Amino acid sequence: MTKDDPNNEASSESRPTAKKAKGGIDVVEATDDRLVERLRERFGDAIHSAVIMVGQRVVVVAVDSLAEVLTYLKSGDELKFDLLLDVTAVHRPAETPPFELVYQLCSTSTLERVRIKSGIEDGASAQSVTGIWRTANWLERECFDMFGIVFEGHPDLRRILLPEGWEGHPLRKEYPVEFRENRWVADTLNIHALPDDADFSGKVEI
Amino acid sequence: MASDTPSAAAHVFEQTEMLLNMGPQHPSTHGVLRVLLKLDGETVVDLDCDIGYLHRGVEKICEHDTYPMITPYFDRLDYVAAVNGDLVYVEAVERLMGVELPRRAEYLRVILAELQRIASHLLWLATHALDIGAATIFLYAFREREEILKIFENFTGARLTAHAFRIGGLQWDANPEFVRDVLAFLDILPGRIDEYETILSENRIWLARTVGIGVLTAADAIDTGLTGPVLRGSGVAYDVRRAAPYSVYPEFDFEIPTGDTGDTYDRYLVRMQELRQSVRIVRQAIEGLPEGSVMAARVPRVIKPPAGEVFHTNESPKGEIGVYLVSDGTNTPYRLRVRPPCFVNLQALKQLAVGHLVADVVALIGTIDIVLGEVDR
Amino acid sequence: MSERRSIGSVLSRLLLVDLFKGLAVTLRYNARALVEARDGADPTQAIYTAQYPKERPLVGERWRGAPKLNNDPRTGESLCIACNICALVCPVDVISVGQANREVRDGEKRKKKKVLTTFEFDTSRCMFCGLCQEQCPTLCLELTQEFELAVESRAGLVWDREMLEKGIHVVTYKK
Repeated sequence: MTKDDPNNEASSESRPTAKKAKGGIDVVEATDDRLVERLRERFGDAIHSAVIMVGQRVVVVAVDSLAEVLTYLKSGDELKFDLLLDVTAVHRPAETPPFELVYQLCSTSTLERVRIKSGIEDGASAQSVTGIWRTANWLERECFDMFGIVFEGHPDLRRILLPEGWEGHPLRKEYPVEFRENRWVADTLNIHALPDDADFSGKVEI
Repeated sequence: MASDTPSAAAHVFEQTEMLLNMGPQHPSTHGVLRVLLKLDGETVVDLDCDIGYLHRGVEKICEHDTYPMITPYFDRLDYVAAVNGDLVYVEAVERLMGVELPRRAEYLRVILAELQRIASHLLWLATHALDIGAATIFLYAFREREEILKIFENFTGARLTAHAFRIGGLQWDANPEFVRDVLAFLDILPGRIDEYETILSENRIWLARTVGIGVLTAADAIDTGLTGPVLRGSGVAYDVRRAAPYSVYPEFDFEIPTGDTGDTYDRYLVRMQELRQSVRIVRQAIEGLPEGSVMAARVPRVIKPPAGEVFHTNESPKGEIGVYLVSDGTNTPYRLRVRPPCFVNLQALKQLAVGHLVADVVALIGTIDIVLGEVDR
Repeated sequence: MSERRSIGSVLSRLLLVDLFKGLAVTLRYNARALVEARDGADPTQAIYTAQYPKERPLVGERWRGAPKLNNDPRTGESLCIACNICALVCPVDVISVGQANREVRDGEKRKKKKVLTTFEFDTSRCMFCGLCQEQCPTLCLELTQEFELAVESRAGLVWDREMLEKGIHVVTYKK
C-alpha cells in the first residue's frame, strides 16, 4: 500500500492503455516513489508510466521486458515481491494493443504492493512467469483459457476451467454472454439448440 | 526381478503404475473436484486436478449486470462464507467511489464477517474430521454453526447466501435481538472449542493422520501463492487484516496464529486458534458497537463508479480474496476479476500429496479447505 | 519420535488416556441427554432437535421466501403500479410484468393510467436475493416467510399473478 500524494497534480495523459479517469478518482503521477525510481533507472523506456490510483501503485511496462521487470521485482537486491497474488487480463477491443496483462504483486516482508500492467497484441505471446513464481501456473492457464493469450515457456498450457475442445475464449468482449450453439456441447452432451418456435416460458407440460 | 524368462513370480513383482480417478462425485472432494492420481501401489506418484465442473462464468455475467445486481453472485462464489465474499465486493466498489461508511455499518460488517469466518472454520473442521474418520466432531461443529446461521437468518433474511451488504452500507440495521443472540453464542463457543480440542488434539489416530502429512515450508508456500490459514500454518504471519487493513480491523486487538512445521496438524491448530481470535474480535466489536445509521448518506441511486480501477483484497476464511474492478464510468463494470483463494491454494495439492499415500489425499484436500464454487466461479 | 519418553507418557499411551478423554466428552452429553429435554432449540441443551415437520420452525422476520403481491387492504386492488423496476433489477430475469394503459375514473376526472395486467415470477430460477422487494416503491412485491416451495411439476414453479396475490397453500402437518 502506498499513500496518495496530494502535492502532485493529476496527470491527464501518460496512461496509454487505460481510459482517462474523470471525476472523483485521483490519478497521480508516481514521481517520488522509490520503487518506481529504481525501475526507471534500471529499465528506462521500458517503463511506460507509473501512477498512483486509489492509493495503489500501477506501473505499465513494455511487454518485451515484462519478464525481466517481474524477475527483478521478485529477486532484485532489496525488492522482494515474493507473493504473486493474481495474473489476469483486460480486453479492450477498441484500443491498441487490445489486451492488457495485469499482475498483482505483494511482498510478505514489507507488505508493499504493486500492480504491473502490460499491453499485448491479439495473437502475440507473453513470457510465462511460472519460472519466477510457481503460482503463475494455474493463473496463466486461466488467462489463456479465458482470453486466449499464449504464455511462452509455460510447462502445461491448456484450458483449465473450460473443457478441452471448447471454441472461443469467453472473457473476450466479442464472446456473447447468452447461450449460443456450441459444437462441444452438441457433441459431448448431446444438447442441441432449441428450434425457433421453442417455448421459453419455462412451462413444461407433464 | 532376477530371471529374464517370464514366470509367474516375475509377473507378481512387476511394477506398474495405476491411474485412479477420484471424483467429481467423491464425497471427500468437497464438491465437484476431479483428481487424477497416478499411483505406485498406494503411493501417489503424480496427480492432476480437473476443475471447472461448477464454472458459471461469473466474471462474464458481472460485465453485463449493474453494480447492485452483482452482490448476490458473490454470495455464491464461496457459498459457505458468503458474507466475506459480499464484503470484498462492496468494499471494492465503495473504494472506487470514495464512499465513507458510518461507523455502525463498519462494525456490523466486521461482526458478520467474523461470525462467517467462525461458521466457515466450523464447517471445515466438521468435514475435515469426518474425512479422516472422526465422525463425532461433525455433528458437534454443525450444531454450533447452526447458531450462527440463525443469527444470519434473523439479521439478513437468509442462512447461507446472506446478501448481507449493499454498496454504501447495509440494507437493514441489526434486528433487536442481534446483540443478545451474538453474546449468547460467544458465551457458548469457547467451551465448545475446548471440547473439539479435547477430542482431537491429542487423539493418537488424529495425530497419526495429520502430523507430518503434507509439509510445506514457508518459502514453498509463498512461492505457490498460498494465503490464509494454509500459509500461516507454514509459519508466515501474513494476514490481510493486518497486512492491508480494511474496514475497522485496525481498531481491534487480535493475534495472528502461525504454525511451525507446516503440516496438516499445524494447519488444524492455526484454524482452531483463529476461531478463538474471531471470538475475540466479535466480542470487542459488540462491546464497541456505535449507534447511528447503517447506510452512507451520499450514495447515488444509480451506482456509477468513476472510470478507473482498483484491486481490493480481504481476508476470507480460505485466504486472500481479491476483486480487481475496472470501471469505465457506466453502471456496469468493464471488467471484474475475482482473485480466488481456493483456486490458487488448490494448486498446492500436487506438491502436498506426491509421496504420500492415497488415503492422505483426502486429508490434504480437507486441509487446503476448498470450496468448488470459488475454484470454478 | 526419537526423544525419550517419560514413564507418565508411556503409561498414558498404554492406558489410552487420549482416547478416553475424547470419549468422556461424548459420554457427558449422553448422560445429560438422559435427564434433559431433547426437543426445542435451546443451544445449551445436550441434544436439541427441531421436530420439523411436526412443528413448524419459526423463520426470521426478514426471511426471503415465497414471493407475494400485496393488495391494498382498503380497496382490495393491487398495489403494483407496473413500474417494471423489479424486473429490471433482477439479476436472473425471473420477473416479467405485463402492463396496459387503461382509462380510469378518479372522481369526476378521467385519466390514463398504467395498470398491471399480468405478472409472472419464475421461482425455479429465483435466487432469493431480495433485490426486487427492496426496490419496490409501493411495498407490493414481497418475499414472505413461506419456505415450502416444492411442487409436483416444473410448470408449477412459474407463478402467475393470481397465485402471487393469493399466496401458496400452506400445508399443516398433524403432530
